[in-house]
Amino acid sequence: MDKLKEYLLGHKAGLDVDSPADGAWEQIESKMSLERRGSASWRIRYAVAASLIVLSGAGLWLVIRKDKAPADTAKQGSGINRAPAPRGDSGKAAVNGVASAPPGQNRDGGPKPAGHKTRHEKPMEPSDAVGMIDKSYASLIDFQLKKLRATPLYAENGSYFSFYVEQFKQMDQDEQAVRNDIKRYGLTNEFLEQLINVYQQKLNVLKNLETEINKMNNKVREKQSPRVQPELHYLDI
Amino acid sequence: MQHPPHIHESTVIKAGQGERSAQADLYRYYGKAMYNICIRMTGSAADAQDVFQDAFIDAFHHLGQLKQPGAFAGWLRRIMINKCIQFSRSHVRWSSLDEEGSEPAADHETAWWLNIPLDLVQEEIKNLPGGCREVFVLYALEDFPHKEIAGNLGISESTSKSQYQRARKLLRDRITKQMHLNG
Repeated sequence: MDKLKEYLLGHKAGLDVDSPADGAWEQIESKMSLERRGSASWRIRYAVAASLIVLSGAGLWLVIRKDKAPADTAKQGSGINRAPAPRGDSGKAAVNGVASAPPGQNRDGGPKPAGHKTRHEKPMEPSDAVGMIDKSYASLIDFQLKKLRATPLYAENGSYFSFYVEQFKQMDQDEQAVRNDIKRYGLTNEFLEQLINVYQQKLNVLKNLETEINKMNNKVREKQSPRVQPELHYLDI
Repeated sequence: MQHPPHIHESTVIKAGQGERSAQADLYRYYGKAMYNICIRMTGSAADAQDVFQDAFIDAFHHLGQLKQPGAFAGWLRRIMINKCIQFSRSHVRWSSLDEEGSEPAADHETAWWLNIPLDLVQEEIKNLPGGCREVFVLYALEDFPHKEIAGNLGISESTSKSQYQRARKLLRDRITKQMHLNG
């Protein structure tokens, strides 16, 4: 063994001259308490989020199925009414064995109440469901992306964060794959869930990236003298 | 690392069950030594504080899984070192220059370190550049073989050896200079 190593190993306790900051234990303690509370609340949040995803997926799937069902029934001919289904609501009414009423009138021939809206006035197409999800998530992701592109990087150039950028690109590919599947096989509950998951993962990656950038920026700010103008970079994502 | 005589294994067990006062006792007994590992590895008090706190939190979260309470000290030390290694992996950039070999210290080298105050040695270890500092601490103070250091830091074994020699030389030059300056 080299002599310096031997000496240092023998005098290691003497090297331990630094002490943790006052209040370090209190910080550890409070972080542990927060995490304990946090993990419980995260479990609840995950459970709620998972239930919402499943419910919204199931709801959309039911709406889509209901829209498809009458048309299918009409095509197959249920024996109740074989006449070609008229357009709009009346077609569904015919399928259900209810005589169709002229537009603007109810079954009894009377005018429809002003506030009345028929349930399937505009059937939701699978593309509508995907469009709805796109709208809400895409605007969130766009917002986050714009924010990140405008955030100056004091500490590192963009390449330091390439891990996140690559992850994000990978998710773009995942999203495209799910979309292709939807096109090929139609919208199913499973695909819908996958699409929502990809969007959520994208948001998570962007959030983590933001946290990492802020962490690095804060470190540079702490270490650098306020007189020194830091070199600024921007993220290309 | 030995348990302080009055730290009973039951303290470790209680701490593993989440008892705060037992955890505080363990912190009091091991905190300083663990913090010194962190500050030598990271070179900065702020980073050391972050890593140190994270490691303690991790340790207490997983303490229930420790089968032999008597092995607590070594187990905790390993968690600290792993956290420091994780930190180094994301903060140290190894350039191609790091591969350049240095001559290993000759066996007949004078023992220049013998009369050096240990606090000065500690200070200069902390001031070593990132990369060679981690290698030096892991090899000379934590007794890791170069092969393991290389695997942990994601570098080659020869880089680990050359970085150790570089750190040794820098340490000697800087400490000698300090000693001259301070008479």
